[in-house]
Amino acid sequence: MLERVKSEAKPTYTSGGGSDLVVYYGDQQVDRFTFLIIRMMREVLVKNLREAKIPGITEIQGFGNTLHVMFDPSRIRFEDLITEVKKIEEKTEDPETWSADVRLFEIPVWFNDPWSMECYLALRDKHQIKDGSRSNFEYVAQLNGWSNEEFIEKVCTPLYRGGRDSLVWSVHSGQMLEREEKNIPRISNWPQSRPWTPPRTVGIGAGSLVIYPYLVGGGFQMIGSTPVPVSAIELPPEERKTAKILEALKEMDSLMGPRDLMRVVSIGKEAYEEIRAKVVEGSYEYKVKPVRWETTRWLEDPEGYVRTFTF
Amino acid sequence: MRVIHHGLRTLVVDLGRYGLYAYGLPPSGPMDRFSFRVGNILLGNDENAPGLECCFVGPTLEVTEDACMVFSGAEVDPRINDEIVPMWQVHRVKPGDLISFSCLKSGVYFYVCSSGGIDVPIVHGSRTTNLQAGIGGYEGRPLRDGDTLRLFPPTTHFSMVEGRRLEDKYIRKFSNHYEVRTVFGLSKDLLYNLDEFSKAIFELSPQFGRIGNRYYSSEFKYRWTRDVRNEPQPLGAGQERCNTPAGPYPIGSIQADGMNGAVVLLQDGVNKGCFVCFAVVVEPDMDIVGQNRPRDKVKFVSVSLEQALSIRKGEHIRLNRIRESCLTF
Repeated sequence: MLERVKSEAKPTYTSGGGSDLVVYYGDQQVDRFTFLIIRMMREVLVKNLREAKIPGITEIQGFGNTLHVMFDPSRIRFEDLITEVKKIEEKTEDPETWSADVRLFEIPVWFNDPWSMECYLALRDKHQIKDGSRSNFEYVAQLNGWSNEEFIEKVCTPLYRGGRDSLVWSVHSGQMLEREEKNIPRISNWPQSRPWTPPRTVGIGAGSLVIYPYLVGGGFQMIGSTPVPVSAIELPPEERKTAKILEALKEMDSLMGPRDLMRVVSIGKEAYEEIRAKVVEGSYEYKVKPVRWETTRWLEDPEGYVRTFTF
Repeated sequence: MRVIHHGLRTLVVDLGRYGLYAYGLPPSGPMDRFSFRVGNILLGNDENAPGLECCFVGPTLEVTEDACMVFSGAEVDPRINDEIVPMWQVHRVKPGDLISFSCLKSGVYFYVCSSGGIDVPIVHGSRTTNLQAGIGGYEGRPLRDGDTLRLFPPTTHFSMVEGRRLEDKYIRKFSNHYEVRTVFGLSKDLLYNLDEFSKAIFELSPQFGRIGNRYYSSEFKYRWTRDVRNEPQPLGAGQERCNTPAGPYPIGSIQADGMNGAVVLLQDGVNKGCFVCFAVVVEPDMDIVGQNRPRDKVKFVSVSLEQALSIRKGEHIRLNRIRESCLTF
């Protein structure tokens, strides 16, 4: 399996502006499972590149099947950088050897919440549907031919992987560890990004979920709201009462790390308000437990293995 | 300094925050890096010494300690005690002096660099403000009336710098028509009319700012190779042709948006996204893009990688000449 993926993940090296190297591993037209494996291989490569401390490199990041390296061309030539990256690629171990102690979080979400609708109505000139006739949640459900309940099930069933490794500081995003493409929502992002998103909004991209923890722009369709803080940024004063919440958010201002796992659970308005009251009062406890992720087991049985991650 | 009036949006900036772009912290820092650097060079400061970035309407400041100041960047009339003073020159100021600005003639951002630099804490490796995350600079926010700023001790004696002036030939010239040099790359193969892109005149829309500038052109429409080859969108991409599975955004990158616009990502940009990214602005020309105003006309001229490196080298040489001209023994 891994050999087949490696043969599909041939790198293409491209430049940008004279100080960026972007490497694409494989063609974009790969199946979902292959995409997830390439992603994990790329994660190991990013880790190794950071540890190599190659002079002249200023930033290293990776998303999906791409690696992005920013560099100072007065300190390393583009061609030499490619040579160094290739050396690391050859030495990088297979992701099947990768195991890690991570955490599993349960994040409650009120789907089709009123604040997402309010935001959409205020900014609908940037959306595909400009008449305000349906929320982003309803738009995505209808786009995929699902009822609201079916859509919620599609979002809550998968396990998500990845935390704060995302587009704006402390915005959380998780990749759906879902192999079947028919279970992954077809999505169009907003044609023009929004300048703001209500705090704690949950957005959906193609195969990923995002939690916008504070007032920040974005382009994903807004499908719900979580009552729990996931970032220490712009935490309102009334939510800073408890040492427990601040302790949970202290690592890079974020609840989840880049390899943590997440389950989403659907709640209604009453439960949402109850949790918010506990957060403000200071008695809220995050639902989290330590778990061990073993890529070998996931490669052997992708569907069965992710089902073992429950509370 | 004490802030009497904060202007439109005045931020404390240094040359930027690096190493955390993967986690959503972009470099931030000045939108016109050349102007900011030169302000500090003239003062004999460390080039990374924090200064103020003013936007359109400048602040009114009361000086509270002896200092030297330089005003650089967009063309504006700086005033000390209501008397207009030249930009790009070191001025001595004393407690009680009032600094203000009038008549922004061109550009958007101008800088107030002070001897020693502004004393604000280091946050995640830099003193610059990141507005989205609300960190760095002065309490992570624009200045407000009543704020008080302290300066670090000067690193060069005032007698060495007072009156120092940048030679006219180095002073940035502004207009409302620009050529911005770009390198095509990244996902450029998804488009088959990039030559037309390079020839079209784009106009900056009212959607502009520290995150990015959005441009439109009546002369250009994106033509996608996927349409020609009759390919579906890849898994993980949105349904529009300008969508792609999430990929990295270099600072200075140009993305196609869903309304035929071109978005140039700037200093507070996001590190990834789902729009096709097909070119990157050459670094020295980022200052031009940063200083664009709505309705400014821009042509994104294609250059090769070798030419881009040569342009960068030219900028290094220019800055070195300015540094040399400030050496006095």
